[in-house]
Amino acid sequence: MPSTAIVGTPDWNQPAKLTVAIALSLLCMVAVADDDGFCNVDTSCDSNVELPTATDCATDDCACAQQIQCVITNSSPDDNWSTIPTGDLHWNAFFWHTRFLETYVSPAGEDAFHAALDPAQPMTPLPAGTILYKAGYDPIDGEPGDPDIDQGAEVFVAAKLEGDYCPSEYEINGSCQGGGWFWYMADYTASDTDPFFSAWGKPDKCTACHNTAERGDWMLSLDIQRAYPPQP
Amino acid sequence: MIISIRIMILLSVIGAFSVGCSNKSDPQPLAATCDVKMPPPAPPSEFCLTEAPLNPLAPAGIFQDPAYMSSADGQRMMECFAWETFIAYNWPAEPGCRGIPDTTAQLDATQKLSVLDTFKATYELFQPTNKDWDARSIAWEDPVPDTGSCGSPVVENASSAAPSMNQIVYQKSPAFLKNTSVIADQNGETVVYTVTINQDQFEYIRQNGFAEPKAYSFAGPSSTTTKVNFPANADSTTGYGSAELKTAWRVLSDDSECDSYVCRTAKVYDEDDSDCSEEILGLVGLHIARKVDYSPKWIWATFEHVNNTPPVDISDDDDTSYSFYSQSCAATVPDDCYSVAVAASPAEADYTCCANILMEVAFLGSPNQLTRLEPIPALADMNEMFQGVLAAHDSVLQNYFLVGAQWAKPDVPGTDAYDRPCNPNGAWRVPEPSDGTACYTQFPAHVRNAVIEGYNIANNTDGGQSLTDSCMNCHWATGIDGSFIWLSVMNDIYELD
Repeated sequence: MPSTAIVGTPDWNQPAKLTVAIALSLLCMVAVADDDGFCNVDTSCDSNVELPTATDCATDDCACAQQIQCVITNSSPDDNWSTIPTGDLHWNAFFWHTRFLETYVSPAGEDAFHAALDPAQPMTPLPAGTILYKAGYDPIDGEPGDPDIDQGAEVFVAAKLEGDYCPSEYEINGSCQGGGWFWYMADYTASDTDPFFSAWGKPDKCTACHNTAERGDWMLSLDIQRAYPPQP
Repeated sequence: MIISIRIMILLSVIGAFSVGCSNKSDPQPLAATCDVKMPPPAPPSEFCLTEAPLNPLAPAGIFQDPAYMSSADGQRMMECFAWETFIAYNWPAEPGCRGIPDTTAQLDATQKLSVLDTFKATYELFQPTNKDWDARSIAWEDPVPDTGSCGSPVVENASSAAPSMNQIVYQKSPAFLKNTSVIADQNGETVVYTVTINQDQFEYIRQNGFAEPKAYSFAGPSSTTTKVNFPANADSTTGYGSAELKTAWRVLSDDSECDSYVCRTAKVYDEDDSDCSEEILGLVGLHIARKVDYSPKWIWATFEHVNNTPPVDISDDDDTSYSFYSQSCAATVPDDCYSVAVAASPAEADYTCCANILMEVAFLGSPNQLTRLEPIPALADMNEMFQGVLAAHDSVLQNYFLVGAQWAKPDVPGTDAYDRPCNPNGAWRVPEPSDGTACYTQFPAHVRNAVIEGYNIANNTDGGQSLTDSCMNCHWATGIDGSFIWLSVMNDIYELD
């Protein structure tokens, strides 16, 4: 397993950049998506940033995505989080996500995630604090071959926050589209210093597929493996 | 009370037919009054070895348990069943009735509303945003509602070449990808879709309360005590068994192409601006899933129009004008299609000639380039035989072909063999069974309708593309008894009031 660089990590060795980055970070923490609906990734995260609550996210979903991504960046998932059972770095042949994917679960949700894989146990929703984090990579130079792990392409995140995140417009027939999760995708392909969120909140690009996995707390790996437990 | 209901029904019938009578086309049935009882299903043909029967009645099921025959024989039996069902569902409908063919009619060049047109649109049964919705009170024969944003689905002044459709069309994304992707023809027109169910599936859902407000969610009925088990033919209301259908339609510029398409004029609802437009539509794809005895994992048949996209071995002198394929694109295909396929946010211009790329909704108006990747799995002689008979009747149905009919063959006859597939594959690949575990094999392994699942291909590590998925892979990975009906009605909503 190659060591993977976590995209968006600030370069702490450059003081000038750091100062600007902190200033931008402070701005970003109170920023909302601009009039064009643009929401940038905060590349200079406050080291004390904490996960927002669902209420926070309902108030400012762009800042919410920024905070969650900062929590992930600060946590260095490649060093400190586990990959889910089907989440080791692999080629993804299909249209969604990027060609190479690696999927981590945050420590707060790790035990619950593994417990949920057992279909003999009732499906308990994953706890607040759980973050499912997909680090996506393109092939080097865009050609078939190895992942460009020094240059992350996209990240895909589902975060379970205190209080389920479900703005009223997403509640249909007593069920919340995409469950209580806050979802986002961030694009790092243009430059690792200028990444942006391509979708956040309850994006159709996430919920379109994940709506099929309600029985697995909206996670396809849980839903499918509960229905078809791996056999020795 | 009963009298007033009768008066209301009578008025709605009069209203429906008075609208119909003002059309250029023949008055079309808005299912309302039906004195004809559903005829019993036809006995299934065995293998369609020497003839292609044109029967207005769908076969009840398959004539033998495929567990006890070779995979080749089983495949032929399933494809025969699929074609017979296709013929029956496209048979002219008995006016005023739902799901019943006019057995006195013939298949010919005339465009008439078919049995397929009279099946229940899902929005007629499911209204997930209406907490007062009373699904149990809906009857199969109820007239098509006219209370939504588009009003009555009947299009006045529809031409006889494209008679008015019997339902509102409101789905603009393939499968469940609402607001995520579209499939567009070479004119840049977005393909639109409908989902309908037959009477047996309708009655099962309605009678079990599975369409009542808050009784279901994306994952189907909320009940933890009732497991969904759609009826097969023997234990169903009509004897035909459950059926789900998805249709895919091109938007045509006028009715001049209707001599080669099943054509309808329809009201197409645009959710973004809550507006309706009247469009002439040509049928380009049709999924038919039926649950019958001896096939508890359903039989998944899918048809396409012959002009959608060329066969994988297209000849150099093929000058057909394909709806979803450009020969000039194929000749000048960019070298960097691989990078387009893997790009996080490909540019709009890159879509035009690269094959089987997921079309972003943001790029509405751009065409898709769709290719087959593999020879179609259906038997060539079966397609040719049915197309030949249909051509002899001058029916537009001659321009359709069976892409494939997927089914499950247990490795050891016995019900537990249906618990998991022996050959899982596709995007939502389920874990493989261990040695010695009873399982079923999916035949054929790969089936893809280009205009409904055009994006559903694998981008390989060698830079090429291949087919890797099928109906059953997806529907049995996360579906509810194989069905995505509840997901569909929660994702795509057409409100009746």
